[in-house]
Amino acid sequence: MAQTPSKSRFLRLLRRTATNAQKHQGRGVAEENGIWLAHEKALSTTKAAGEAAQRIASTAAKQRSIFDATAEQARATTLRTPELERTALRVRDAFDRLALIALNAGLEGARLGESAGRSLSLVSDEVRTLSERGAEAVRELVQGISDVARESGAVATRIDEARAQSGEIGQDAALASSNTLDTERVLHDIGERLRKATGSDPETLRSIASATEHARQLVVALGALSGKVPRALLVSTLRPVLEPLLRAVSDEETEADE
Amino acid sequence: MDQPKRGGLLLRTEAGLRFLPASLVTSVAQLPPILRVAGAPEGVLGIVHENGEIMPVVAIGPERTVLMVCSYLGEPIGLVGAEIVCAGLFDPDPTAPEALMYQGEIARPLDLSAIYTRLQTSTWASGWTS
Repeated sequence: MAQTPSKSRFLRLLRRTATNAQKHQGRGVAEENGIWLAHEKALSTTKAAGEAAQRIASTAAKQRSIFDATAEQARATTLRTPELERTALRVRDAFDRLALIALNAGLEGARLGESAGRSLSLVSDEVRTLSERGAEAVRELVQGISDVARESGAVATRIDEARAQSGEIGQDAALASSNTLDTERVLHDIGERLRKATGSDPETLRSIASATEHARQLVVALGALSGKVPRALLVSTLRPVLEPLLRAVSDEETEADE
Repeated sequence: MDQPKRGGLLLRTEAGLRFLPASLVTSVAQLPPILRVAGAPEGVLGIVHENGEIMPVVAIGPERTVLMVCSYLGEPIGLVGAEIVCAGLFDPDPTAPEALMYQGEIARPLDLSAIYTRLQTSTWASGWTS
């Protein structure tokens, strides 16, 4: 059982503890702390990469379902075009018949003669011109429908290609996610081995670092108080707070001496 | 003195612009299905049933869209193979009284009498009777 140190020994021990703690900070603890920090960083980065890969896989799956719906719409548009073409051809047929009616009216006007058939001939000419324009517009419409069908077919094909690429992205993301899980497992294993090899862990090291920092600040404060405050007052004030620490240090030194 | 305008149908054939007088053209119709007749004379595509009448169809060109129903000496004749330019009243050609002028182009009359004569004089199904 360690004895309670005297006043002068108390201060000596206090200084030495603080100095040793400061020195200790610069060596093994700092290195171990650095290794643990790097380990923690690697772990968190790997976890973030894994989560990102999962998000990519999920987005790629959503993208594929959107591609499927869009390709389906494009195919539906292509499938509707024959019906539209048939409708347009019916309109063209109506215009063709109208043109024939106009021709027959023109013939009738011609039979009636120059004065009696004049108005009929004029109407006939106008109706025929308009029906020819209508038939021409329908021909362009049919061509346009055909172009739209061809283009929407091409769009569907391109969407299918994009879907296939999205599938590859999803597979790669799933693979990356699986790999990051493996990496996480390996990092956990490394952490365990490190814990066994050093006998420390990140929490302990952080506590040591914190205690060291406090000890350093104590040394600085003691240096500032040196000569300004009566020694007896300083010791009597610090003793209740630091006695457990000094006892621990004294025990450690006694064990070391033995 | 100005000659009166003449009414009829202007046609574009391989030979150029042609004119059919309104007195000979009964009507213009979409080409109905032609029933081919074995042994028909050259140029006769067959017969059609149009507006309640059965008539021979004579080709005057390669077009196959419109049937021009004509009447010659009381007999119906269908013509196909020309593009119809227009129907109406046209100015006669001052240099050739039987021809017309249309937008600076001369339209000669289509010789329907020759077509009719050929139909009448040709032997139908001659190969079968020999």
